[in-house]
Amino acid sequence: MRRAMISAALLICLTLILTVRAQEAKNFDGTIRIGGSTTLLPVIADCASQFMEKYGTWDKVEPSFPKTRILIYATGGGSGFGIKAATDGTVNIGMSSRDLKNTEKAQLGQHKEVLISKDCLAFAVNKENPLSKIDNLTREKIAQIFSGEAKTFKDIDPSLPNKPILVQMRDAAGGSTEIVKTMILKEKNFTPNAIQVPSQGANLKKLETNANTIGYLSSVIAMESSLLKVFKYEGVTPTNENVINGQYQLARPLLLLVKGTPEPAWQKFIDFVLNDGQTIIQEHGYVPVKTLR
Amino acid sequence: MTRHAFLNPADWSELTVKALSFLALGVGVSFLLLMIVFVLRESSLGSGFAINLFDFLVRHPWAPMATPPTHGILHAWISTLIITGLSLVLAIPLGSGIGLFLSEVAPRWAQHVMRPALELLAGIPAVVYGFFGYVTLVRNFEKWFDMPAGECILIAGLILTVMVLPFVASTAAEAFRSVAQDLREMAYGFGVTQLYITRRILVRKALPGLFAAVALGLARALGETLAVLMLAGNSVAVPHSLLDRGQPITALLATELGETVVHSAKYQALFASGFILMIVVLGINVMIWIVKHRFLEHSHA
Repeated sequence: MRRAMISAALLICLTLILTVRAQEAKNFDGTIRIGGSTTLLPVIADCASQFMEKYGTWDKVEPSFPKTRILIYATGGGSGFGIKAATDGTVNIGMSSRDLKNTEKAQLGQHKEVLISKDCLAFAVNKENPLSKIDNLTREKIAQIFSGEAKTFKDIDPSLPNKPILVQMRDAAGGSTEIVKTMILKEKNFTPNAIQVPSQGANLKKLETNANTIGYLSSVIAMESSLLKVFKYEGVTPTNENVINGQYQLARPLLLLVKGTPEPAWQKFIDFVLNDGQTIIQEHGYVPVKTLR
Repeated sequence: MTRHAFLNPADWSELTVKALSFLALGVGVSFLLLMIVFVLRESSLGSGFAINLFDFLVRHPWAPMATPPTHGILHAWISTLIITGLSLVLAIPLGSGIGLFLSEVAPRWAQHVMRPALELLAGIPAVVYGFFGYVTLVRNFEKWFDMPAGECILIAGLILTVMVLPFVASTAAEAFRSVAQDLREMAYGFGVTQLYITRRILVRKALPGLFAAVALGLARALGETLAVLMLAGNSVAVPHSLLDRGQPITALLATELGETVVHSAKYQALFASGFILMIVVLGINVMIWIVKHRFLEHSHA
């Protein structure tokens, strides 16, 4: 009799749990929508496709999840859009490549903000460039070069040859250019003679093949190249450690945002980005955060 | 037949095909119109264009990150003008020559080799031309002219010449070929040389067609983006010589539009420059159309 009662109670409990689960499953149709920063888009798209490839259906991620196919949509639109879309529910997870403004935080209300990586830029030249004799560049020196005030190598250091320095920049739309403008040039402007390089790849190629240009690029990519001399900025080398602990300042955060608390399935994907995803992040030239986690 | 017009199934199918064709035509034309309207609307050129038109075209530099930001496209249209002009100056004589050779001089086997070769040349993607220019001309210019960086509008113009050439050449060949055979035979009957025929008859008769070749090349050159983006250096300073860097309108659009805030002054400026480019290309196409029409009347007469 007692055993029967216990089993009955268990059965009721089980049914209750199952119904709750079923309702949860109803709310969650197996799809995650992600949108925002175009900087993060390729990274997250790669993470999503690896996640879908690895698991296929949600029950493989966690047995209690429904047996539906994993679908993750990632779209661009910019950081502003990502934050707004996370706020109004257009996307489940927003992507932002800058810190949130206070007004945005207020609109978002209770939310979760996950730092998944940092976009860090380093200044570099070809090892045959006269500037490669210098180890450290200060903010003022870089501002002089990129505004066109310092026209020759001699203007930077009297011992260097009197040859023109060529400035190489990413297109004005790129996030790294914004960092250079706001953190280094400030009220000064980029020299109109700068070569605007349309892509990350072309940027690296140009620096590796031309001994007269100075440029800025992802610190991860710069440090990996054996042909480049990477400068210290204000005395700090752009190693991943220095970037994460904030000593090297030319970086911006790459964030994932969720309004309220993330659904368990979303959390699983965010965890994936923080683990397996860190390799992908590094491959894309961004600084992984995992080393300090 | 007219009595049973609505009963005859054959008529019905003809009517359907006609209706569908008109629909397709309508869709095609309205795409073009909508595109013009869209670009015009996004640029706000009609009303609320945030920049004085004179400042936009001539006076201001392109400095979207400056405080306050200025959006002037003087450097862009001058670059476009120089690069396009250069490529046409080179491609027109060369292309007409190739066309003449193809239609008048070349033996049949040479025609069989050259025509597919031209078509192939026309089909190569722009990025390949750009890359080719980058690894050949850019590197060597750095050596020959002792330039800090080889990219310049001269290289962009040279590579653009090669890209435009097949279009000019095949249109020119077509123009020469369609000069009536009787004229040639008549002239030979008078015992004149081939050079004379070419100079006095072919070139004159084919002139409208050659003009179409020029216009086609011009439209193509104006619209080319990727190769010139890779080779012109993409600098926003106004070029003063052929060895300076520049940024044609197409490159400006490709570089900047991606992350521009919608409806900002910069966005308007970019759409306005796109609108200018579109109107110029459209005008050229209308010219081609008119000239071709006149050309057809000529050859029928």
